[in-house]
Amino acid sequence: MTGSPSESVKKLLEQFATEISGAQEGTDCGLLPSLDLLNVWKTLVDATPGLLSMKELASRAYQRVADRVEEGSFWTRDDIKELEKIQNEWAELMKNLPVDLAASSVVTSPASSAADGEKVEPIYLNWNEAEHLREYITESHEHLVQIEQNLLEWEQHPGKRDLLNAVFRSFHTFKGGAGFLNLKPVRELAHRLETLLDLVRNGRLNFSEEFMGCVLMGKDRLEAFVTEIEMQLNQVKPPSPISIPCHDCFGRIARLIDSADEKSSSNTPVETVSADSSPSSKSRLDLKEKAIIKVDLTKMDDLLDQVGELVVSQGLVMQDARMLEDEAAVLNQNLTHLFRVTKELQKTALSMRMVPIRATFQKMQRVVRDLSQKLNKKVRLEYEGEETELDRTIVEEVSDPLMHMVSNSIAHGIESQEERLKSGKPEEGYVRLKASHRGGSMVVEIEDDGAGLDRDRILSKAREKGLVQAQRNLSDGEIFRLILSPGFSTAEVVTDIAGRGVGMDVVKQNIEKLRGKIDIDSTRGVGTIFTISLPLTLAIIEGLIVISGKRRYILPVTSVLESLPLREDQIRTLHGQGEMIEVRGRWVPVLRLGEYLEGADSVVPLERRVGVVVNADGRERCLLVDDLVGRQEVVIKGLGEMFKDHPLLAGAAIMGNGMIGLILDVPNLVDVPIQTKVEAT
Amino acid sequence: MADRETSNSDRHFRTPAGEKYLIFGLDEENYGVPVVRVKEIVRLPGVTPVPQMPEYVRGVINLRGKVIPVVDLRIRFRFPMKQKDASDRTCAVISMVEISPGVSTPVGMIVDRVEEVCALSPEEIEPPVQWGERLEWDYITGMGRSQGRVLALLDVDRVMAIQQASHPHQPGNSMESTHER
Repeated sequence: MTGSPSESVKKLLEQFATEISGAQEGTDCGLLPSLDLLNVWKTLVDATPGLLSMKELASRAYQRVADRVEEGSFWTRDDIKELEKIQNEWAELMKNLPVDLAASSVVTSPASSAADGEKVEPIYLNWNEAEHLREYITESHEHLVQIEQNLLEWEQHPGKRDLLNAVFRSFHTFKGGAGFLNLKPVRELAHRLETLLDLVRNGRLNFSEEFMGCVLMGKDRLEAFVTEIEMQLNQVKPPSPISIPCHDCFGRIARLIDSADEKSSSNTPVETVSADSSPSSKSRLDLKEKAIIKVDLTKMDDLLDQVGELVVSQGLVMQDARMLEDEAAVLNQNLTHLFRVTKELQKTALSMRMVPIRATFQKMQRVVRDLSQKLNKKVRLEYEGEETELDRTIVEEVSDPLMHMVSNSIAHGIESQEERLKSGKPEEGYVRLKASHRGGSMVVEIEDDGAGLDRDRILSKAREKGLVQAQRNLSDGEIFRLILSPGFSTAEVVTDIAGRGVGMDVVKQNIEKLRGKIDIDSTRGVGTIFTISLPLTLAIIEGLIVISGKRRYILPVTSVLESLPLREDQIRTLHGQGEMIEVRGRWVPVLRLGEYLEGADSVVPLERRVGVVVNADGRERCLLVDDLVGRQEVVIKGLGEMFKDHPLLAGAAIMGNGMIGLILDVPNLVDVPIQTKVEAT
Repeated sequence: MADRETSNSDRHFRTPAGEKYLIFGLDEENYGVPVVRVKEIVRLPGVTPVPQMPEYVRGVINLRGKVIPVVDLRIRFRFPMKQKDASDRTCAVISMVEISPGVSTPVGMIVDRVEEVCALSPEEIEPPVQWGERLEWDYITGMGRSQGRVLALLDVDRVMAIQQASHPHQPGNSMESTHER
């Protein structure tokens, strides 16, 4: 920004007023531009002593909008009112600013000529280049991931110059692409980072914490640009000029570059001799071993759908052929062969959705590094089994919960260096991630050698909060799992890298959304292990088919505890209120499924019906159905946009006869309010 | 929002010159939808009903491995129930419907018969007759004439706008059940 701070602030206020006037309740129009504006304002205010009076206001405004953006939601009426108030207060404060406010400590250091009077132009996306932009985005993401990985590894092994060269090349390519697409600020930032890298790899600048922090900050900033471009391209956000402040970054880079120039070339160059510096160095560069092609995800999904249909059709043909039996012995043989081929095809098609968990584990390096630095603890990350594959959707969704659990281990598990030494542990703690396939599921373990969980404290806290009845006896595992309950936290909630607190209960919810489970084991003073088990693929589940009111429904087998024949006297009411049934010595609330779903009483007498006890997160319900058909592996389909929020349905499946079976949402069924017996309407 | 305030007459101007319409019929009535929205027309396969949806949502069908919802236009437009007979030409017109801003999904409309595709020039289209303030027919964007037939031109998105309460009426709950339609 050119001009004095007060002029800049005035301009910002004008822009802000424009954005707010365009904001409408229920939309996110102007949400991100406002955030950018407020960020620039906040940064400027923080860096300029003369603007101190605005500090609280700027912080408040920024936080408000930032929260909205992080939730991914829209303006509320209160938001708009609040921001209008802020706008007025801002204008008031403007009146009291000294006119001759000197640009005393604007973000860039005065000594650095490189960053003086910078104007960072906003980016206006050229939609004619959408295709090129998309390609650039995809490649950029890869580059940025590589940069971070290589940097972090180089930090651990400064002798491996190849890594540094790789980072340099990545920035260079990044810069080239940005230049080609006229993304000036991106190019500018990449260029400065490239310059910085060059100094280090030529030995004219030494490695330092500041260097690492600066480059990582630059990488994060580039990532912010790329993400913003991507969101606008994909119309997740409305098109608007992209303006992400980089002054703080430029400043840091400039200072580092200056400090290098001051040194003469009498620096000892970075070690060039190292056993591993040969081209065959197996660092991150070996990920290119496998030949990979990029395929449109929709095409793959279509392929999977069609393969599914193929399996169904062929199943029907086989059924018919079997009826011909002896007459068609050869036909049956050939069909069996066809069946095998089709099954193989389906397996291959499904395997295309599988990706190794490696990338997710590698993402954790940065988390561990940053958080352990922030908290002044020494922690290293280890992992094994990173080649284990799972469904790509699960990989994407498991990244966040994993990150929170790792953060949690570091924040609350691993002790400070002094404590560790006092208890005879090595100064450096570890967080170990292990992925493996176990019995048809994918298992991920997160192990730390920290302080472990305090079983008794957890139990007493849970009793205090009424999460557990006083007399109930719980196993260790159940006690530890209490920390995943909402509203429970022995320590204040973890603040992750982004500065936002997340409870372990959210982690649990996210894992359960993936149809996974979390188990916890811990030994005081030794450490804790979180074990997450996830299905290998979200595409197939094993379902229990039930009939209710002449319609078939599917219950995920993982939610079914047991089924039992019914007797009239088994069902009781309590205080005239709800129906319950006695199952193995305990009372379980009842839900008459057909009546609930269709509103019509069942015509099947009770004694011929079946009770199916289902369970969601410890809560049980006994569903009364007309009959059980059997267990079947079914391919899950989405219900489509129209029904995806249907409270009772978790999805649909194509059954063996080509018909659709509706998969019931067990957690919602379990929570249906207790019914009195429905009188015939 | 503001859209609903504009009168019916404004909207027929949205139709560009000579736009093509798919003509289909329910009993003696004929309807048209812009052909550009229509993906395909299929004989109706088995329909799996979806619980707790309005009656005109018959359920879902399996269309080459994809789950597609289908809406019975006879019920939606309050036609009387019909007996199936030998001359049954019932089929489903699968169209892309925008169910929320920017989100389109295929939905099938069950109709008695599909006639043809014809082009209508603006002269052949009139604003729909105003029967007082019947806003519930806001899915009719105009009236067309073609080969002596009168066509009700439909806005597919509005026809399919399914009023989904967050907790659709729960038939089994005898405590507070208000069977609204």
